[in-house]
Amino acid sequence: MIELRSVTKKYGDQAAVMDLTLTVSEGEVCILIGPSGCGKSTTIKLVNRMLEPESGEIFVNGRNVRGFKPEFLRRRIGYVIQYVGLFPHMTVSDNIAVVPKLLSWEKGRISNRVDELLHMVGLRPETYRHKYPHELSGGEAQRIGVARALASDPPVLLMDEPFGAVDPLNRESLQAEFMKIQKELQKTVLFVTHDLDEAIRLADKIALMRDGAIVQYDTPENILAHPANRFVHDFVGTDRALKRLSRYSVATIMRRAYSLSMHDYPTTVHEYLKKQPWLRFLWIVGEKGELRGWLDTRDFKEQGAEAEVITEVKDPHFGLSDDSTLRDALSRMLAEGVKVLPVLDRERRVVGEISLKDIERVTEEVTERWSE
Amino acid sequence: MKVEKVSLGGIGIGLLSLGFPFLTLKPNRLAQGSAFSLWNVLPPVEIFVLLLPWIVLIALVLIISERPFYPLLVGVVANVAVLTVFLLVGRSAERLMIGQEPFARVSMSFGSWGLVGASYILIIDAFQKARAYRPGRFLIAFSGLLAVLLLLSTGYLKELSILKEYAVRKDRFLLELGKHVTLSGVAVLLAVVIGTPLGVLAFRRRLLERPIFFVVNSIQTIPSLALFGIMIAPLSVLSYKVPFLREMGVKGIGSTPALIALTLYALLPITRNTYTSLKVIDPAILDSAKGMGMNRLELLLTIQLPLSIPIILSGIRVSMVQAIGNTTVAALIGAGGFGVFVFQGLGQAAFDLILLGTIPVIVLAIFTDKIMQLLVTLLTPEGLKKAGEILR
Amino acid sequence: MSTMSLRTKEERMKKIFPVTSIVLFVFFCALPVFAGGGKREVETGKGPVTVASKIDTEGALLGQMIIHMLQANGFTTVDKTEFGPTDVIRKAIINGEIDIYPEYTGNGGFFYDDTDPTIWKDLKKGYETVKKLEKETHDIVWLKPASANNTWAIAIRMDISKSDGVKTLEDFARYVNRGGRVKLAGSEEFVSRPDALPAFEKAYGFKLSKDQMIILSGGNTAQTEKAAAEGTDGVNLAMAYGTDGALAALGLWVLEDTKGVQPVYQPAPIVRGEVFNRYPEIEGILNPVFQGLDLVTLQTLNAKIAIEGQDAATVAKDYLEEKGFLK
Repeated sequence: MIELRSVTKKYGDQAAVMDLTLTVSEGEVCILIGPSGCGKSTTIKLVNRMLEPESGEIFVNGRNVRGFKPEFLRRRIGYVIQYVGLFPHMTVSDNIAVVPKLLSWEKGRISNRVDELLHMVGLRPETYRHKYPHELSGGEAQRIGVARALASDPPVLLMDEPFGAVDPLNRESLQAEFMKIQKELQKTVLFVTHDLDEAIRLADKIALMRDGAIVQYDTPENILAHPANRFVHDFVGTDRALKRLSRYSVATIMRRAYSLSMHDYPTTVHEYLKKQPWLRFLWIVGEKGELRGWLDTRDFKEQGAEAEVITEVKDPHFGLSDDSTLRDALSRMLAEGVKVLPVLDRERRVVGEISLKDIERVTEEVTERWSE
Repeated sequence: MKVEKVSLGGIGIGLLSLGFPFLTLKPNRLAQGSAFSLWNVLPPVEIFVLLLPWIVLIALVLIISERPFYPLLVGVVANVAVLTVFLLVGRSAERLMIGQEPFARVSMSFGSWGLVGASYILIIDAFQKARAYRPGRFLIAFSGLLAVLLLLSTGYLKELSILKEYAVRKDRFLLELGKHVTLSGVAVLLAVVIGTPLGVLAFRRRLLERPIFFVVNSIQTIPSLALFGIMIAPLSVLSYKVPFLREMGVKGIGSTPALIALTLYALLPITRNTYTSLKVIDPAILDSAKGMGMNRLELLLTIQLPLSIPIILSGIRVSMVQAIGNTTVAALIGAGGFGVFVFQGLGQAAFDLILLGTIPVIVLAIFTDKIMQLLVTLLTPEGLKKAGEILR
Repeated sequence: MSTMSLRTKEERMKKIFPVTSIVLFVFFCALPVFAGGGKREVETGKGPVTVASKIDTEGALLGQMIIHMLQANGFTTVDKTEFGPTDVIRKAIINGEIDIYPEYTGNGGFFYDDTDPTIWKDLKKGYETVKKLEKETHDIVWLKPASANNTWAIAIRMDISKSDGVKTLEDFARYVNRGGRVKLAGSEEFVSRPDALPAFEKAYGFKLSKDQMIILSGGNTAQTEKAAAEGTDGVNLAMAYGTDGALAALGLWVLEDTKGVQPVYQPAPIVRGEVFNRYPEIEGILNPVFQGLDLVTLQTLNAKIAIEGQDAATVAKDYLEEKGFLK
C-alpha cells in the first residue's frame, strides 16, 4: 500500500503539492485526476523519489521511502510513463529484462519471466521477443512498457498518463487489458490521467486534485453521485448520472429471468403466471438454453395461446452480454426502443433480465447538487 | 530510360581527358617539359585496352541503368579503368625514358589524371548508390586504390618522376609516414580523452556549455601555423626548467608543440558530437531509465553510451580526417610528416616532390574516412540502424 | 553492444576505476615517447649532436655534410635537417633544442638590426661582428665560413646577355636606360626591401617600373629562375641567389655586383656554446670542409640536388669522399 502524510513539494515559492495526505490500500487502483497543474504528476514522482518533498513522509508497504537508496526503491516499484521511453537499441525482451538484470536474476528466470509478461499483455513471445522498438506500433510499445514495469513483480505500480499518447481505439483496448491484468495481479496502483472516463472505468478510488490538494477522495460511484463541492460538480460534468452507470455491471443488477422452450409452451406459461402473475416478459429458449424469442404476457392474456404472441429473435446480437455495464444496457434499450432486455452469457443462454426501472433505481442515487 | 547524370558526367570527363596530354617529359626537374598525348605514346593495342573500360561503362549506362546491380558493375569497371591508366602509364614512362639522361623526368599529365579523376567520380557515385550491398560497397571504394598500391610495390611505375623522387628518399618517406600517422593518430586519441568528458560536461552543466564551446570554437579560428609557432617559446622554457620533462623528450620544437596544436584542433568535432549525441536522446528514455532504478553510471553505460556512440564515432571520423590534413603543416616546426616533402618541393620548385607529399596525405585521409565509416556502421547498435540513416 | 550484462553496481565500480586510471597513467607516460621521439643520452661515443638546417637545397646539403663529418669522427648525430624556416630554427638553437646548423653571415643584419648596415657588405667585418654578437648574446659559436657568397643577385637570360653584351649590373643599367626590354620575376621582399632591388637601383642608376616586374608573394628563386628560363609572361630576368644550382642548367647568367651593393652571405656552421665547449674538436673537423666550398662548387652540388633530383645526403657523401674528407 502507499501512504502519503502531509507531503509538501515546492518549486521556489509555488507549492505544487500542499500538505497532501493520501492512503492507497493494497490491491487498489487509485487514480489521480484534475486540471493541469493540480499536482497529480508531482505526487506520483514523490513516491518513487524522482522528486523529493520539502516536508512530509511517504510510506510504501509500511516502510518510509527515505529509508532506501532511490535506485533500490525504484527497482521495486513499477513505473510507466506516457511516452513509454523504450530503449531503442535494445530488443523487446532486453527492454523488459532491464530491472531483473539490475536485480541480478539468473538468465533462465529472466527469460521465462519475459515470455510470461508478453503473454500477459497479449503479445506473442515468439513474434515480439526480438523486435526493436522502432518496429512497434504505439499500442504495442505501451504494452511493452507495462510489461517492463511489471518485470520484477513489484507490489506497487506508478503510472503517469500511460495511455495518453495512444489513439482512442488502442486506448480502449489497453484499458481493457489493464483491467484484466489488475484483476489477476491485484497490484497497488497509483495512476494519473486527465481523462475522466478512463478514471471512472479503471479506478477503485478517485482522488480529484486541485492546486496541490485533494478535493474529494472516494469511489467513482460516490463522487459521481455526491460531488463534495461546486468544483467537483462542475468537473464531473452534467451527465454524471450516465457516467456512473458504467460502474455497474448488468450482472449485479439483473433480476431472475423466466424462460421456457417451445416444447413447454403454453403449459409453462400458465404455471409461471399462476405463481408470479406480475411477470411481464418470458423468454423462449432453444435446447441448449439459448435465446430464440420472447413473449409479452399481456399479449398472451389478451389473445390467448393460439395467437401469434411469440416474437422470434432473428438478430444474433439482440440482448445484453453478461459483462455489459448499465450504461450499455441503457444505450441498447434506447436504441432498440424497449424497456426490458435479456442478459445472455457467451453461449447466448438467458441468465437474467434487466429493465429500465432497474436502471432508474441506480440513477436516483445521484444527488442534484453538491453536498456543501 | 532514367538518365544517370553523374555517370554520364564522369564518362564525359573521362572521354574529354583522352584529348589532353597523357605524359610530359622534362630533361631535368626544373626544365620545361614536352607533352605527349596518348595517341603518340601508346601502341594501338594499349590504346584499345585503355578505352575498353570506358566503352563498357557507356554500354552500362545505356543498357542497364535501371537494374539494382548497376552501381556495383559501374564501380567494378571504374576501378578497372583506374588500374589500366596506371598500368599503361608505367609502360609508357619506361618507353619514354629510353635514351634519356638519368635525371630526365616523366610525369603524368592532365589527361592521365583526368582519366583517374573521372573514374573516381564514377566510383564514389557507385559507392553511394550501392547502399543495399552494405559490406560489398567498401570493396568498390578501395579495390582500385589497393590494386595501384600493389602495382607500386612491384616497382612497375618506377620510371615516373614522382617515384624517382621517392626512390631518392625512400627511408625518409617511411620515416615521415610514421611520423605523420603517429602525430595525427595520437592527436585524435588525446582529443578523444579530453574532448569526450568535455562534451559530457557541457551537456550536464548548462552553465558550462557556452564557455566550453566558445573556447573550442575559437581554437579552430587560429591559423594553424600561428598556433604551432606560439607553442614553441613557452614549451622550450618549460622543458628547460623542468628536467623531468626534458628527459621524457618533451621539447619546444618538433613533435610536442605540433601534437599539442593538433590535439587542440581535433577537439571541436569530438566535443561537439559528444554533446549533441547526448542531447538528442529522447528525454522519455532517460526518465524511464531513472524511474526503473538505474544509477548514474548504469545510465551512462547501458543507455547513454550505446545511443551516443554512432554520433561520437562520426565526430572522431571528421576529426581524424582533419588531423591528417593539419599535420601537413607540422613539418614547418620540425615535427616531420608529409609536409616535409611539400615544403621541400615548394622550395625547389619541383612539382613531383610536392606531389610526393600531397598524394599520400590525400590517400591517407580518404582511406581513414572510409574505414571510420565502416566502423561506425559496424558499431551502431542494431536498433538504431534505421534512425542512423537520418544521422548520416 | 546491444545489451550489456549488468552485474551489481559495486562490481562494476571496482572494475571501472582502476582500469581507467591505469590506462590514463600508461597513456601519459607514453605520450612523451610519441611526442619527443624518446631520445636518451648515450653513454658510449660522443654526442648525440642534433644537426639541423633550413628547408632549402643548400641548407640540406651543408647539413648533411656536417652530419657525415661528425659521424666519421665518432659522433652520434640526430638528423633534423630541413627542419623549418629561419625564425623557427633560430628559436630552436637559442632554446637549445638543436645544436648546430648552417647560417649565413649576412643574416646577422637581421638578428641584430641595430648594427650599421654597411658592415654586412664587408666580408671580414660582417663575419667578425656576427661572431662576436652571437657569442655574447646567445652563446652561439660561429665556425669558419665557406668562401662562396650566396647573396641576392639578378640573373639574366644567357641569350640576352650574349646578344646585348650584358655581363655586369653596370651593363644592365645601361641596357635598361636605353630602353631594352626587361621583365623581372622577384619576390615581394626582394623588390621592396631597401637593401635588395632598391639598393641595386640606387647604386647602379636604373629604375624598374611596375610593369617591368612580376611580383610573386612567397616567391623563391627556383620559381623565379624557372620563369625566366621558360620566358613565362615575358620574364627574362630572375631574382636569384648566388649559389643556386639551377642557374647554369637553366641558361641564366648572374649579373656581377661590381660595386658590392649586397651584403655578403657566406654559410658557416654555428654551434651552441655548451656543445662547442664539450666538443671543441668540432671546429677542426668542419673548418677544412667549409673552406673548400667556393661559389662554383656549391652551384654544382646544388644543381645535383635541384636538377638531377639526387638526395642531399648522397651528394654530400660523394663530394666528401671525392675530396678525401671521408674514406
